[in-house]
Amino acid sequence: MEKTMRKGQIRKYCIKMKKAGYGNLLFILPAMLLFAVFSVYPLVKTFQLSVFDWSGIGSDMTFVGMSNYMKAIADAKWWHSVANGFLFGIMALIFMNPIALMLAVFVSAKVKGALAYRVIFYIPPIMSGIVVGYIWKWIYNPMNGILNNLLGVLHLDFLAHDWLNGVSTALGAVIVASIWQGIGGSFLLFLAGLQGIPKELYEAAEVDGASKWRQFCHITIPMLEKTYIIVSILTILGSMQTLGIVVSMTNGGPGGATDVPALRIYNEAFKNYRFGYASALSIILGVMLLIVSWLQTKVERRKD
Amino acid sequence: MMKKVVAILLTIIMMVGSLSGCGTGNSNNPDGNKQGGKEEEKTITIWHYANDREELLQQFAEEYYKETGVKVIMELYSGDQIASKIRTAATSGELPDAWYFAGGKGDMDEYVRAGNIKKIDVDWLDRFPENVLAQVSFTDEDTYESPSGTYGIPFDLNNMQMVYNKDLFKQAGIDAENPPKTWEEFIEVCIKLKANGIIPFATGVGSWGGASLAEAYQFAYIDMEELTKACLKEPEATYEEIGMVNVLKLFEDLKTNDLLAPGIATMDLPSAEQMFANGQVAILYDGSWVIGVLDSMNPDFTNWGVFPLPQPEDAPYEVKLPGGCSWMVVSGDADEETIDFMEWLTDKDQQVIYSNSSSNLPANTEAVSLDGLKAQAAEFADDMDMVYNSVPSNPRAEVTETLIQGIQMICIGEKTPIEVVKEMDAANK
Repeated sequence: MEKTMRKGQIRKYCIKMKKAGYGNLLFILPAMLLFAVFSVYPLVKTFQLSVFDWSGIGSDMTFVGMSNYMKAIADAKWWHSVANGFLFGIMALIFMNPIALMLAVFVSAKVKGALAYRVIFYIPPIMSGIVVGYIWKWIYNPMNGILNNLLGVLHLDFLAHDWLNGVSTALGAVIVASIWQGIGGSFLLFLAGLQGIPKELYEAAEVDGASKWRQFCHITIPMLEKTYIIVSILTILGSMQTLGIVVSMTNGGPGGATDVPALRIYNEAFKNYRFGYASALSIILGVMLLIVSWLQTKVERRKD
Repeated sequence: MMKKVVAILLTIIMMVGSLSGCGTGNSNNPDGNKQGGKEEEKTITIWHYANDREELLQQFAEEYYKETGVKVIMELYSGDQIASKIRTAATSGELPDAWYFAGGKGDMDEYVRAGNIKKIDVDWLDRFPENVLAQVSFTDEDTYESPSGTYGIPFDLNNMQMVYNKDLFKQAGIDAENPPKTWEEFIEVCIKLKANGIIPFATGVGSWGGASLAEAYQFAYIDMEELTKACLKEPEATYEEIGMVNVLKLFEDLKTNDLLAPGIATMDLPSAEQMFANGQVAILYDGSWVIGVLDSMNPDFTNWGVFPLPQPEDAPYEVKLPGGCSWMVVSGDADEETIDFMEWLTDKDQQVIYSNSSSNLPANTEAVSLDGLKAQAAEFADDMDMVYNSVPSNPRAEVTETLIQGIQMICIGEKTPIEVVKEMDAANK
């Protein structure tokens, strides 16, 4: 009798769950599990490490509370690297994304060889940052690099410079290389955005006699607004996490002039052997990026 | 209903499949047993940076397998990569049976205390030079916390000196057979080279080359007891007080006379080596491994020589040479087999083959024969007695970082030696 009652209760519960759609949750379980293992757990672990003083080997860990965070707040080298990271991002927003947009508009305008251009523009982003860094290191080579030779050919020898060796030029030189590599990624996203704009809008504008420029200003730009937000967020996030290109071109030098947050974190963990402190820096960087992304979306939503 | 069952099954398969990738898949097989095999096969795994000698090391591994039945897996990585790889493996407890140790004595102390390096307790360590073994040995009297004993087995010897292009010396009218002995002569030679349109000097200032050169000259200017005081957990002396400025003034000398290669502040050692191999720079500060590097970069370039670090006339002590060994340390469970292999690898026969084939200096003193070595290798080997045993290392890594960055800034004229020393003292607090 009791058994029958329990079976009935279970059946009722199952029906209730089915009605509520909870059964479907089972199907997102694999993704949730992967997310938990590869994203949530490392995040929690990083936070846990950030409150310890730990060299990265052995079990000799000392709980230091928030002292790593306090140290980070007073660490001039860290904030210098953060400032450099933001400069990477700002320069990319000012130069990289507009260039990428122009290229995307150009390629989507059914020019001859558009497919070839798409492939060419996308080659730099699929190359490793280390490789791109070495290519540009060669371009900037003060003795036989292309850039100084080109300036010589153009009778602009006075502009020739030891680009990566000077505190005032090294960061700019690395930023140019980074922008060169990043254009392709933004280009592809803009191209996808452009393809999503209904053609009827352009046809109607043409019937009304709108010029190409007016079509660009009044159709393309507004319709690409959402894409632009996403590209901008990705640009800032990417810029703040630049590493390979800096390592191969300057390794943060001269004298830390091209240090960036990811390199600072790497050096603290693997060169200075301060894993706890490096974890605290990672958390701070993560929070900063979260705030930047949130602010950006908030501002854009307010515009809407 | 059937659809639902299939969907649930697929979900479970996907979950299991996804998570199976998280397994450690340890190929090291710490027990040394071949899984599923009928016979037990001992296997040891070794990580080393000598990827330029891969063929030779694999040959050794094969030969050892034929002789003993113990399989040796040699995994080779680049020099820049291996230190981080080992650190990461130590963090996750996945170190191999033996590995190349990169780092100072302070680092070794840390690894030993964490149980990642085992003590070498064998009676055949006397085949290696004493000053070299001292670099990986702890005593009850030293400031380290590791139990006394030896913790590394030398595989080959190396030291760092100045290498120079004899043709470029001749081109500048300098006697190529009598390289400079004092710092003052060195500067004079460099000025002559510069006057003849030749770039005088390069090294890896952008990475660790500058700090290594500074470390060698600390021996010339600073009393080691005084240096120890600056390196204590609670420093009893400042770098300014012990005369670090004099060491850094040597870099200022090079800068003010415009003797450094273009791009020096961000130049790594391979780039400097490439310039030297191409005949673009006359003098390079580098290690004895440069013989193999130059062979691979430019096999036709052979007319070069070696000279010890020039002694500054105003320095109260003798300059010494950085150097030591490529150390093999043992950490795995198969320590008995690993140590047996190390003994075999450092036997005279193997060391002679290794030295002759790779132009590296053998660690076994019985195998050192200057006659069998290349001229440059013999020059490096001849000065092994000038190598310092150990140098007091500062427990605060930011001091070394400040020094490396400071040298870069001095080399481009952005900072003075005293400014850098003050920054080092600030980092040392």
